Amino acid sequence: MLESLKTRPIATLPDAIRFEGRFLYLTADAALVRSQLAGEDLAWTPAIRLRDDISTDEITPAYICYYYDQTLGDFPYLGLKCGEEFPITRGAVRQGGFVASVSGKRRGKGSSREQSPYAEQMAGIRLVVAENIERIYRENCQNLGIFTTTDFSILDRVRRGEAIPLAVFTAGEGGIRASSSTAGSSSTTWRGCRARCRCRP
Amino acid sequence: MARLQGKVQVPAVTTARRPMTLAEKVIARRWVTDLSGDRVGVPYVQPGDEGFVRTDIRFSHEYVTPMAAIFWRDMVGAGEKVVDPGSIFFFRDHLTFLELAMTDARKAEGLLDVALELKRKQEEFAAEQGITLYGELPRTARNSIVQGSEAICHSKMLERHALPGQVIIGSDSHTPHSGAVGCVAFGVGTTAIFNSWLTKDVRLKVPPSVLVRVRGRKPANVTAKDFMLQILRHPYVKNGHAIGKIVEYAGPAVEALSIDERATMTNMAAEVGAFTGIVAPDAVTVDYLVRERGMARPEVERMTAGLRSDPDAEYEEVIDIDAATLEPMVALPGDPGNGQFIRELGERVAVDIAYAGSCTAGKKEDMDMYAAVLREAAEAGERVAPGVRFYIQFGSQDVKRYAEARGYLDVFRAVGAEIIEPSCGACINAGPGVSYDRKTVTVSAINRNFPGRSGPGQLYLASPYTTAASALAGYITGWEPRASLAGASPASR
Ligand code: SF4
Repeated sequence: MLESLKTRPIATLPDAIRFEGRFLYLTADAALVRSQLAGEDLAWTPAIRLRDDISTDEITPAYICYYYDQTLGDFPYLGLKCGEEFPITRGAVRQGGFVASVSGKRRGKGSSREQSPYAEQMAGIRLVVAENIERIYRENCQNLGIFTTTDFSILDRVRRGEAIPLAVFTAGEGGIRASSSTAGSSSTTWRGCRARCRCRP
Repeated sequence: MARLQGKVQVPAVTTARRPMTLAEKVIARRWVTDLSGDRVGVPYVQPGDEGFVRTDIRFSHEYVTPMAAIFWRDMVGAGEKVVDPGSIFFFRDHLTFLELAMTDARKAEGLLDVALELKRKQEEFAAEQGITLYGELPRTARNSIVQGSEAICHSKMLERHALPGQVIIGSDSHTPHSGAVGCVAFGVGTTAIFNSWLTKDVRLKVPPSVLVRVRGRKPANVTAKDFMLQILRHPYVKNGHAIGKIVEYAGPAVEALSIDERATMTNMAAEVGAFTGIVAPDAVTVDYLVRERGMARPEVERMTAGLRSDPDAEYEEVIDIDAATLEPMVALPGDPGNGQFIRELGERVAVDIAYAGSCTAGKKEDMDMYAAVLREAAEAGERVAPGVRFYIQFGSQDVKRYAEARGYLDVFRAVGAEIIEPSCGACINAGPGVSYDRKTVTVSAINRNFPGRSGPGQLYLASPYTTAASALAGYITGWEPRASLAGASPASR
């Protein structure tokens, strides 16, 4: 064991999180994705079909994963196929100021590449909501600090500006995450990237 | 880090006596009971128990090692050494042939240089840390063409390293491949690999188990791949209910499979979305380890003793498949869950490319299957259909030597197949066999066909038999053995 590590300070997580930014619904209809990228918020209802089976090959196609740094923030969802179209272009997600990304069943299936959630995070995404979420992708999200949930009602709470208790995301996660984040009561706000923002978050 | 300092509390596992599945038994044996120390093993675990498990092997490939090495440099320190480098392996397998497959437009963007950096960074870190790297074969001369890799990571793990009862993590979703010999092998992301360099452990919450039972006698032209395409279209799997669970494959039709064919099933636990796939070790496993690894039989028998699920172990779901009712299948382009019997396809689907390779379909027995189909054709003086390009790529140098020794290379050449050295290649859109436009139709023995996976074309997943038979026919078709069935079934591997 490395002695030097035994004395390092350790950051703890806050108790609650506020998310500020737009929601990106990854819909089966390419036109709806494009209008969101153009700045229009989608009034989503369950009648609007979300894309199922979004693989990490679609979130970050293999050729994008040659990058492993913040450049990845230009590329999330570049391979997303809606019908016969690929509605998402380079830089569009970051430009859109999105904080949450929403899709259907089996989100993040396929390759274990951590480049996928890293690209999303670097483009401002802090919250992933889907009907169900694949294990490795979900663990990668957790490890990077993207929150994941299958509870769509969280979106309403975020929209109302509520701070979401961390416990909501760690429910069913046993004690490990929770016990490493118990100190004090605090909350943090996470924002999606703003339009034309040049930062590399 | 918080863990090493004793600042993370993990609830102690106090699970009482209960019947366990095979995977639960393996996990219990490797359960870390003392987080900042060295004790492992609890008598029982149950789904939901959470903590850390001591790994036997950790591996990663060039897509992941460099990013984890940067985490290491930034968070641990460039000069520090990883824990137990002898049980870490690196692979140069995914992008070996990229220079042959990348479009000029992407090369002009500088992407080839970015990708070559990955190889260099991994080599540097391996040398610094004294970690075994299964790398590229040396080029014959500077600037000469790339020669291929030693092996695809999963191929090498099963051929050489994985043992019954072990816990193995890899930076790749198909890590469950090695579950074919009865170990718990699962894929993790970059951060988890990085952490394991520091601790040798991996965080885990014991998943529920699902039992997939395949009974009946399969037709001669049906393979483990067809079993998997059938399982993947089962509503339980397709709707995501198997996500994160342990999938144990059992039943007479699984027991009748060789280790290589079992590995096709455990490999594709990734497509199921499972945490891992596992098959209980049996006489076939013992024979395999004795024959392929030169291990002593008593040693292997000791190792496999007790490695089976208790009769009353709990499964969240049991899926029953009757192999006798199966026929050769394909998965339609877009998702491995789009399975159909070839007979159900309706129209004839003409193919432009047939690809036979990858971790799933580049094993020794896969070569037996390609050779069985192609030998018939070669003997009848037939060749790959006009307009079809047929690629056969080995999973490792061992597989290549095996194929050579059995005279398969001559058979492959005689029918006009192109033979490629080991690498992931077309499976990761980085080698000969990829498509370059949306119209191209490919039949491929790989494991997944998500949009864009192997180029922009339409990719149908199929078994090794179907892939070879379709290359000869020029359209998707199952293999109809012409000779007596006895001669056609592959050697038992
Ligand atoms: S051959 Fe394909 S599936 Fe197998 S490890 Fe390589 S990229 Fe992954």
